Amino acid sequence: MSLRFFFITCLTLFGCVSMAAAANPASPIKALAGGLDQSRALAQQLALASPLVQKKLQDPATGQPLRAEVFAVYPVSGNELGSAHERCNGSGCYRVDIYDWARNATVSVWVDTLAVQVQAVQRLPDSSPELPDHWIQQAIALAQHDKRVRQALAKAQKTHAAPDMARVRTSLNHTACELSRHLCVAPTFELGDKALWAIVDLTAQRVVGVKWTDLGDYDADLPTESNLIKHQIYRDYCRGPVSLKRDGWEMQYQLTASDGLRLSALKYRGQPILQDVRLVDYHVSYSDKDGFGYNDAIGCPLFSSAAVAAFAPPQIRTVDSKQAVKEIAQTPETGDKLPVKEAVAEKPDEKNATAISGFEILQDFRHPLWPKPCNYRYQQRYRFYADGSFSLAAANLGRGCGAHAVYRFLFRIQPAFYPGQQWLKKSPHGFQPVTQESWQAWPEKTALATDALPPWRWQTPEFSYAVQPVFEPPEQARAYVYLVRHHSDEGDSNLPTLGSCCHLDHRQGPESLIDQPPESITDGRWVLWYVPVIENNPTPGQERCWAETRLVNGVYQVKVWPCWAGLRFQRQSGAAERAATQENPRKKENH
Amino acid sequence: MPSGPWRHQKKNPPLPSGSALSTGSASRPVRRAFRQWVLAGILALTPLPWVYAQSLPAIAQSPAAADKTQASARTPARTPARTSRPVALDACAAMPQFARQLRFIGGLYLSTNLKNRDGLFLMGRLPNGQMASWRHPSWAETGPVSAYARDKRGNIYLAATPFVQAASDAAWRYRTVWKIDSTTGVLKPWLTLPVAAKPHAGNPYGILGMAYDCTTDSLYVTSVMGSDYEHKKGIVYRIDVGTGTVEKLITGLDAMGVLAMASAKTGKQLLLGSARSSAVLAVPLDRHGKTAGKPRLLFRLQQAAGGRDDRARRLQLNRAGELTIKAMDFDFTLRSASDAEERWYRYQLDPATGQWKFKNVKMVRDRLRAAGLSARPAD
Repeated sequence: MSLRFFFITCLTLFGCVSMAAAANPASPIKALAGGLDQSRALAQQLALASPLVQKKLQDPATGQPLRAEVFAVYPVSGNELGSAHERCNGSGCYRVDIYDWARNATVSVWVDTLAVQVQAVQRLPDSSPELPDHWIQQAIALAQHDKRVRQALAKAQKTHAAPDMARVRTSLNHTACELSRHLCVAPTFELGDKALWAIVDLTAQRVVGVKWTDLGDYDADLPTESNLIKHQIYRDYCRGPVSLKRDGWEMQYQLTASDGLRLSALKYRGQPILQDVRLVDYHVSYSDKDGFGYNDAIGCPLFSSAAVAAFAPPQIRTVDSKQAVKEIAQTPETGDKLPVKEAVAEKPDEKNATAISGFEILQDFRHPLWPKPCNYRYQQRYRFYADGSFSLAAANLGRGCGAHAVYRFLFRIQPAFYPGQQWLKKSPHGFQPVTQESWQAWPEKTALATDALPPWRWQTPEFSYAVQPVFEPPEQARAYVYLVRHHSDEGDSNLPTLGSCCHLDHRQGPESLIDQPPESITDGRWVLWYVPVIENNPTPGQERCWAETRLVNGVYQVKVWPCWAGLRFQRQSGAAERAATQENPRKKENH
Repeated sequence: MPSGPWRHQKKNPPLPSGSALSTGSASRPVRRAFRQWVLAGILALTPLPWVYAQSLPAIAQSPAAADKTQASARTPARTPARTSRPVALDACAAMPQFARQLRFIGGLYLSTNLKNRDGLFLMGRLPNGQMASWRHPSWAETGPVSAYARDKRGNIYLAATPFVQAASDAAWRYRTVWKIDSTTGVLKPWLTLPVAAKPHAGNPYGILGMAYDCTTDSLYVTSVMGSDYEHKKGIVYRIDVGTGTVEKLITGLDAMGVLAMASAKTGKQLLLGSARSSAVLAVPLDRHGKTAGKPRLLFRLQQAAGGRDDRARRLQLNRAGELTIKAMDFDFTLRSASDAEERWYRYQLDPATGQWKFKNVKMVRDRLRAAGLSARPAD
């Protein structure tokens, strides 16, 4: 009774907000300001003061407060009172809805203002309460000031159209943005038989997309952030190749149904380099005993055979010299330090890095719920340098279904055809051409004298490349390489998943393309398959191929430990070319 | 008794005579046994309790109740016009004969959601109260299953679907209706449906939905085989179960979930969940089970409070006339192991207006657990 007396006195004499705030100065939950009568204000303050409410709005692991805000305070109607809230007397009973910005959840608090106590607290995940007016106005303001909205309305000659408020409240008000799980709303401008939707992310304070819809088509999606992006990706990158010319390079790229981001007709200064490159599969194995795992295909977000779909359009961006040096530094070495001066030239430092800066194409594939357990995120990256070098790589960004997972990335690389072109592999007697279909494990069990040199070379009558594995981080680097004769029915078109997910040796699928007896590839018609092998690790301090969600300033953020693997093709100039094909003289002396 | 692998019993002898399967922890055994005894009693006493019916349809109760189900199969379906509540038209579906010989107690359930999702399973409680699952060895032939339905004879019809990766014989497998014989429990391919186009890299799917209509002995099947981004090549079929005759009811419609229902206000209808949007459609049916009008938009899941841009993959009506729609993300891409999350929407038909009123939606991450059928007892 004394507490009730205190609050009533507070209300009567001093006003509720200031006193209640004083009673609970440490509450991190933002109160709803303005427009509250005394009873509602009391209900709000009782809710905010409740230790149980505060506990529900803390990170369970650390106890840190999450970003939270009261959205609504209203009297409880009779038909809402269920068994859990029956003690709440109808006349003095209020419900306080608090939005949990960090987890996109609603915490509802039933408060009996006559008894001056909280009667029940419920948390509803993946939900949001009715928006308060100031957030509705904010959403409309963001929509009306968005350049895309203004352009669309101008095109329809409806520059002064006001959005439909009802749809703000009813269509997307209660949903999270699919991608970010943020609070999103959709002010809608109805214009005849069409509607213009503006998807506003209130958590990030931005318009994430606009779309026109026909009001009568039941098969048309209503726009959401997710389907706007998916349709854009499909229309722009899945239906046909996109041409790109930059820094002396020419190419076409396209998102495939199940082979990732395909690159084709790659040329450097007009010289054909690669006919076709694709990432056919990710093989994921969780147990070396039970053969349990998956073949994950990656590709288009709509109408595809991809199990992990493109999450954003391909990004094309400049690779600065530091990134270039970092990539080169991540090429693992299994022998001694580089012994030959010319070979050192292949590993430029900061001084000469400018010469090798270039650009990259990056493609993100992601499950919507990543990084929750059993959700995946993969990336594909192509880099092109001004000196004619290039690299192709793929990444696993966690988190998958568990620790001790072994990932294998299946690259298919078809070079441009040059009669007699050769793939050479390192041997104790120098680089030797591979003359027939075969596979090879890298690194070899026995370290060679020339291990510090790139293990392979690709040589044509017009140019040559030193080919080096790339692993980021470089630990535990290993891979399988397959040379097979080119047949158009063995991967020129989109490939289904290939091979078993769960063989941990060379049986990853490409070995099935090696005939018995193996076919000759001396005429230069061959295809390279490259399968790097990476193991994940969630151990704190040693994370690899992993992702964790952490609380930062009241909002969850994702910490990622990506692992990259691929191949770097280092264009050979005269001296470096000769050096790269020689044996290591110093090593030879040691022998 | 049919023989076959028992999912939770790799190293133990087959099930008969109440052998205990090792499922769940053994803490608080007395309290748990009591809880399971009570649960078994509820299942036996209450045919098709809604919470179970909406998750995994019970195909039988106790043997006595099963007899009752068989008997009801011989009587005509309830005339829709006599009730203001909507009714599902598959109420006559009978317990398979082979299931009588299984020594489960209480209800039996069909599940496609067990680990690895490699086909259909029967689930039920053993005499000691533990949940267990069973299937005939032939059931593994389908691989992952998208849809199933039962008829008044106790036969089970089902369709295979790709999961994580497509089968090499997708063009045949995913447009074939498979049948589990009521008497023998053996699964065999039954009918291969005519389609507009073959599956392709941009759409590996075929049959996605199935529903039975007792009043006309019809099996309704939805397929999206051959559709692509620009072209809707989906078909809704009606199969005369008695003769095996296949009829294309609707063409150019990509649908997923399907339900045959009737009410005094709406008459006989086929409810369809669009595979391209969150729309739920209604198609009027005549007394022969054929379409009597065009598809009409009922509502969109996305526009419900708390709704998402989901696809209605399964529609179920309980005895109270409440419609449960199990919905999930679907973009015509392959499903992966992580995509277990779905939402269950509940609607109620307003008998005065014939309009469906949204009631609530809940997120479900573990369907078996949500249905109370997890091998591990719920908390």
